[in-house]
Amino acid sequence: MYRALNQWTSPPGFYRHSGRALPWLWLSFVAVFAAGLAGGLIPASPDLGQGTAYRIIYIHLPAVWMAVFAYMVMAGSALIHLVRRDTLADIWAEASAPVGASFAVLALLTGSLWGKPMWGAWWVWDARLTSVLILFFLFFGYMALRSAMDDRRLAARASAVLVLVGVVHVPLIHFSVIWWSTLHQGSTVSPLDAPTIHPGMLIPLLIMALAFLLYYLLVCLMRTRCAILEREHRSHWVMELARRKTA
Amino acid sequence: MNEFLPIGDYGFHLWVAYGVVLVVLVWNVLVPLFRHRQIMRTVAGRRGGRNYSADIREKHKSPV
Repeated sequence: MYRALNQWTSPPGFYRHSGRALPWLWLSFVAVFAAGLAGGLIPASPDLGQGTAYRIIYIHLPAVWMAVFAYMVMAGSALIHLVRRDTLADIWAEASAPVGASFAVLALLTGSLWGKPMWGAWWVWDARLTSVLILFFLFFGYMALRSAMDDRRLAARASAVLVLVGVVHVPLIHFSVIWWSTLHQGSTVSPLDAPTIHPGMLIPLLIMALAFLLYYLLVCLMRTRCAILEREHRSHWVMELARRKTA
Repeated sequence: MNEFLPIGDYGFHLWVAYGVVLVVLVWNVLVPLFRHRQIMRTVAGRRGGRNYSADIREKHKSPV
C-alpha cells in the first residue's frame, strides 16, 4: 500500500503514471464538454424574461465553482507542503493557480456579458462581483509572489502562507449574496438546499461542471508534468526520456 | 447560425461568452503542450548548446 502510494508521490513516479492517465482524461473531457455544450445550447426554450442570455449560466456558474474549487485545492496542497515539505504538493499548487485565475476571469467576463443585457451594466461594484474579483487578485498575487522570488523553497513557503491566509475570503464569496443586498441573484444551486431551477437546466449545468472539473485536472496534470521535468532536468531519467522523445 | 440554433435575443452576448470560454480553455492547454515540447528539446541538447538552467530561469519569469 505504502509502496503504491510512493510510486505516485515521487516526482518520477508521478510523471510516469500520469502519462498513462492523460489520454483517458482527454477523452472524457472532450466527451463530457461536448455533451454539456449540446445540452446547454440546443434545447429550444428561451427564458420568458431573459431570451437566450440565460444560456450563459451553463458556463458562468461552473467557472465560478471551479475558481473556488481550484483555490481550495491550492490551499490543501499548500498546507500539505508546509506540514510535510512535499515537493509534489507545491508543484500542484503552482499548477493550479493559472487555471484557477483563468476560471475567475471567465466567471467575470461571462458574468459581464450576462449583466449587460440583464442589468444594463457591464460591471457594478456589487458584493458578489467584487468578491470574485478579489479571488482573481488572490490567484494573481500568488503567481506574482512566486515569480518575484528567486529562492524556490522560500517562494514555495511564502506563497503557501499567502494562499492559506486567503482562505478566509472563500466563504465571503458564498455569503456575499446573503449578507449584503446585492444586484446579483441568490444561489441557484447550493450544497445545503434543493436547487431552485428546473431539472432540464440543472442537468446540463452539472454536466458542464463535470467537464470543467475534468479540464482542471487535465491542465494541472500537464503543468505538473512540465514542472517535474524542469526541476529534475539534470537527472538521468529526464535526459533518457528527452533523448527517446526527440530521437 | 440563428437558423441552426434557437438563439433569438441577446445572441451576440451569448456567442461572445462561449467564444471567450473556448479561447481561454484552448490557450490553457496549448501553454503546457508547448512547454513540454520545449523542455524535451532543450534537455536533448538541440538548442545549440545553450545553458539549460538559464533557459529555465527565463521561463519562470513569465507570469503564466
